[in-house]
Amino acid sequence: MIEVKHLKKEFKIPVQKKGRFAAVRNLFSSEYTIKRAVDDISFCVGNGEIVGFIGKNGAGKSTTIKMLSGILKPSAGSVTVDGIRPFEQRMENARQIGVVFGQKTQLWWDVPLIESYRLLREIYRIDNITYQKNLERYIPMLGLEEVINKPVRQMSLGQRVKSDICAALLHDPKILFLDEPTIGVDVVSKKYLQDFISEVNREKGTTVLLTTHDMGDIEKLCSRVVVIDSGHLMYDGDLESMVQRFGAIRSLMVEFEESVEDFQVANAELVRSEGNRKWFSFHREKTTPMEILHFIVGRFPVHDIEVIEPDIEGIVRNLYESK
Amino acid sequence: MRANSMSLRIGAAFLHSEFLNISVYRVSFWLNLVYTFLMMYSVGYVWRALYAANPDAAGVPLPNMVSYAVMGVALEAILHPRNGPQFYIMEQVRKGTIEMDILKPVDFQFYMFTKNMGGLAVRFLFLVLPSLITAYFLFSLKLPHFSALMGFALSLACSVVISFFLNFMLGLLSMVTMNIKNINWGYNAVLRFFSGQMVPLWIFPGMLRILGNILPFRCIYSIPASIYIGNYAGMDMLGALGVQGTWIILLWISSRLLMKKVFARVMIQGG
Repeated sequence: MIEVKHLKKEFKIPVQKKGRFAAVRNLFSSEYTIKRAVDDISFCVGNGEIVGFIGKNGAGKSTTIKMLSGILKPSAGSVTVDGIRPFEQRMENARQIGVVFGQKTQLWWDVPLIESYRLLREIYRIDNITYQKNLERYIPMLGLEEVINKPVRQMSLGQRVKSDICAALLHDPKILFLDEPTIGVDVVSKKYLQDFISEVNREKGTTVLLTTHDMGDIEKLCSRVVVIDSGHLMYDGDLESMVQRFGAIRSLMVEFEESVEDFQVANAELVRSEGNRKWFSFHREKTTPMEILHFIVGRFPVHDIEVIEPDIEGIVRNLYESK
Repeated sequence: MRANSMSLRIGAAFLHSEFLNISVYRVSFWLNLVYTFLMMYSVGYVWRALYAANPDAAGVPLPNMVSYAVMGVALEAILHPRNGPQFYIMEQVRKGTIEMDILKPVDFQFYMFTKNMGGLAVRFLFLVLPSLITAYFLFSLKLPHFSALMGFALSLACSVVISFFLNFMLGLLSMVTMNIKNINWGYNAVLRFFSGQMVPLWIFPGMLRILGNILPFRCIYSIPASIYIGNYAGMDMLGALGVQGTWIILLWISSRLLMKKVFARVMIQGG
């Protein structure tokens, strides 16, 4: 569905001069530095997949999405979206994709929501049956009944993002690009959005490429993740293998009958000590919880234990740091 | 035909949404109407006073001159640059949402045109027509002959298109410069002067008149208003319409080229 091959994007950034008359010299300057926002990225997204696209701020996620939606020209490499080259065939591509940028709206600011939808119906040439069917389905699912006659400028962020997602799906796009859709959205609206996205994906087979910083979104929606950092591809694969590979550091919490002095255990590190409890972290290939316990139980009276698996957030942090 | 019916439908949808827009900003709408009335009254008064002092002040009979001036004020309600698409484009550029407009599967210029025409039709119906009807009774304006009225309607349509192209190109500039408020202010000053909106071009002295005739701005106010008062009739009228038609073609080509260039820059540079 989406094929990205050796994709590169370079920006020319004018060099800001310093010192005397800098403002004037800047006006006539033709010096540039080249910033490589996306550097040799290749990945594929299959039909009907939901893929999480993660990375730090400025890692190149939005730049990649813009190239996939045809509003940025790749510097090198190739992109195809269902066989269409987005930049060269921007109109054809626009008709088959839906795009939501969490911080930007595609709706008209001053007119009631339903009016924006009517305009989109004309612009995307959506036939009446599809339009009505989609509205009747999506409005209750997203809880938009109460804002349908409100202009966007009066909406809360959560309402606006929900309205935008509905707008992006009215023309039954084959592919949905979601760029940080849940940023700043409250937990209840977030839940609505996650349920909605997975429902649409199941029902219509819409392929979804989702950028997010919210690991809840990833865990709930994505079976596969693509991680990029500083324009480079760091990881591409399913979520479980990522946990296996980068979630190597596990922790063990031990609660003792009474407070005990700090002590060392082979192949594990004491990371925290609080009242009767102590936390040890260890590499999953170097030792096991059983080995550590075996060492401890012979020496101190143990009341309770807990093995703590790394969360995705921690894994991603490891991944960024492992570079 | 398919493209035509689609453009009509998009146009109708924008007309509807612009109508709602204007009903949201009611206060500004009424202020606009009051402003138009006051301006019409004062230009009418000024020309009467001038003619009382010197009956040959403008080289045309007083009723014609008053009609010309009132028309200039009334048409300002639709042709003033503040009603053009450039402010929408500039706002979108500053908010960073212009990408969402470029992403839509419709030609950007066509999209801006239909959107602009929606607002224009609403302002024509609710500002221009009422003020002209009022002016008709206030100054006992003369209705022109049938042929002049037809010529005027056609010429007005041309001036709407020409002013759109000029405004649209200013809007494209805002994609490069981010802010066009000052440029637009300067443009408005030049436009008012060289379009004959305030003072008819035919009373300008030598060089200024020649310059005014070369520039496209006279197509916006001077030509339709001159046709209305019968200053351009017969072959003159056809000639004036020909000038407007030529400018439409020239500006259409140059705005397409500029759009291509600016888009290429934005899409390669990332805006």
